[in-house]
Amino acid sequence: MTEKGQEILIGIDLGTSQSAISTSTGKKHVVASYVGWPVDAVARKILKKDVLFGQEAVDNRTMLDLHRPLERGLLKEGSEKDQQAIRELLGHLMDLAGVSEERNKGAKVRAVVGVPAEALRVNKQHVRDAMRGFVDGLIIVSEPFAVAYGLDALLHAIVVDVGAGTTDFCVMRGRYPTEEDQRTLTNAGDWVDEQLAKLLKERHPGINVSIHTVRGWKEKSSFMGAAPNPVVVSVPIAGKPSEIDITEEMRQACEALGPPVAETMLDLIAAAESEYQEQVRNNVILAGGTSAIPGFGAYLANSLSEFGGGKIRKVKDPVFVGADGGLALATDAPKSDWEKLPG
Amino acid sequence: MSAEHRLKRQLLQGLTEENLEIIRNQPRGTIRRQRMARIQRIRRVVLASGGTLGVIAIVLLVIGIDSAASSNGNPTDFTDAYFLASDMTPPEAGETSNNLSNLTEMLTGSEARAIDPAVIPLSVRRIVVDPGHGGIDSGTKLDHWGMYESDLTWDIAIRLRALLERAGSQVIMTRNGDEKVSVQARAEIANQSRADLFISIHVNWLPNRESRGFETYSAGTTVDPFLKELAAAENTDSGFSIADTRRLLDGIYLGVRQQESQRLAEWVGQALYGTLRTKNPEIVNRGVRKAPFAVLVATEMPAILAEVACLSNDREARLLALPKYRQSIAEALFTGIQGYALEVSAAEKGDTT
Repeated sequence: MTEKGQEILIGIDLGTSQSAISTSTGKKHVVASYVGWPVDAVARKILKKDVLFGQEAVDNRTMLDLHRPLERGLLKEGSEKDQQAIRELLGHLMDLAGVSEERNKGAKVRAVVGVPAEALRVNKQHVRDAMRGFVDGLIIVSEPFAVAYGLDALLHAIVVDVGAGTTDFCVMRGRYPTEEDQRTLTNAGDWVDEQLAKLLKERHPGINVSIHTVRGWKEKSSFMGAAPNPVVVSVPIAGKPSEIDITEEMRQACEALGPPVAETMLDLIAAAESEYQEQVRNNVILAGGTSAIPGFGAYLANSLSEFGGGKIRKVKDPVFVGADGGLALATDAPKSDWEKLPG
Repeated sequence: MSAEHRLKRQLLQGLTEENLEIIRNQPRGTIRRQRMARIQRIRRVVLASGGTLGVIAIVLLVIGIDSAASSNGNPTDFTDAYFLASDMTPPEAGETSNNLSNLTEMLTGSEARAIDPAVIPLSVRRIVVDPGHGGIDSGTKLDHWGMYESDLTWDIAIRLRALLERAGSQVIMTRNGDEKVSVQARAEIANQSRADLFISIHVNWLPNRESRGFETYSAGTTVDPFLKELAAAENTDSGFSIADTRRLLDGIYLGVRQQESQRLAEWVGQALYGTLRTKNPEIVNRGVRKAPFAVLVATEMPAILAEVACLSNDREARLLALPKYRQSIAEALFTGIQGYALEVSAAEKGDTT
């Protein structure tokens, strides 16, 4: 039972593809970052809901005004509907974790929300605006920093967080990361989907396939290097149902992600103090859903070899590592700091 | 306290400060700089007074800070106390004004007064104003309205020059009218004049005609394909060879110049937003960004490039056609330069008192 004045701490990883929440009450939830409203009364009657979230929304997209409110890891600007979608999504996450209910009973809710490393101030302000009314205290944090903090990788380490919208980098040098210590690339999971769709369109000009379907293929069969199995999919081409082998296109699209990520990682390592570079190379933390592409870690390890070698460590729980890091920050932040940072 | 615990505390302090700066719409690092200045002051008092007197001085400083924080109704807190006790308070969101006496009051805490001829501190006296494009290089254009970027940047530049000169600054222009001047020549003018600041004025053109607003740039590398393209376009006919550009880019990170340029860009960005949003309520602050513009890379002083509006946006193009709006842009640029200059001056003063 919640007592008035009880405190609930939460960490939220607000992602382009999926958003996760971890709470001090031990709850963890993840939801695909989709929000959809029934397009008309008929759709509402069939779906029996005013708003749908996550995979359920994607599955019923033909009957919905479907929104993916984060683009390249940031709140889309200028669209009221997307602003509303992000609030619905946050509210849904808090409902799933039982936080909204506890707050209604009088608990104080304090949240740390992760955003891409190089998010502009204006985007951070948008996140702050979207969270207004949901929480009593709010800290916005760079996502890879939250990951590093949660894993206690505070010194001579680099986090490479390959998400759907962005790939975020953060070097931990024993100080709060400055802009030089962090980078954000828009080469990430969605970018791979776009490359794959483009390659397929080039080979089969009559192909008719949505980006959601292409994303599904990638999530199921992505790889770098040698193909573990042929990737064969069913798809209408010029209206005719066809089975096509997309192994080569899949390989090319996935492998295209390697060079920009490796280059940026090496660039940041090279910017670290020379005496610590070896330690940083041996402490590369690979996080984010897209980092799960088979062969991706090996590619990065290989790119380190010509600079003296290094060690890539994949996080155990890529889904919750960001939210858990946020929760760790929320737990360690002094009360006096929370009082200065209202929700 | 263990080293790990100390480090965690330091990281959390950085995180809290960054969030406070976002809420207060202050440039990044403001609170840290103020805290460091305060610590320096305490150190100097201790060193100058020695032993017991030093301890008394610290106690008095802390009591002073404490009462300042309490009288404001805020919980006693050192970060806030440093902020309150500081002589240097950057403008809050929406407070940046084109009224120069207001700005002076905001920055110095004194009463509003007429423009002081020495309002631009000595540390920032010689300023290079670079109106982008010119001559056969008209930049972006709206042919059917007869609006050319080179004309707009020139108009804003001469308005800015007038404001700076009235405030006692020496202004060097990189072109003297509608003439083509290479980027290399512009950088040479700035470097040879040993200027304190360089500001390049441009007008943007974005593929999405709905996009509007301004952005400020300091020199740096970028992976954003749009910015790469923009920088490549602006660097056309720069007069620099590829080898020159690479050498110059390598040098960006050697000094503190980049950090100073970033600060200047932040000040100018804030001033543009604060000043223009009353006239252009849908204006978008597209942020402080880094890109390898040759003119920024090759100059040896803190240097920024401001894309002050989007000619590609119909509404902003109409606003740009109004002399009053161009005057507001010039005043915003002036306000940003002045804010930066006062901050530099306060930091220097803080180090020597």
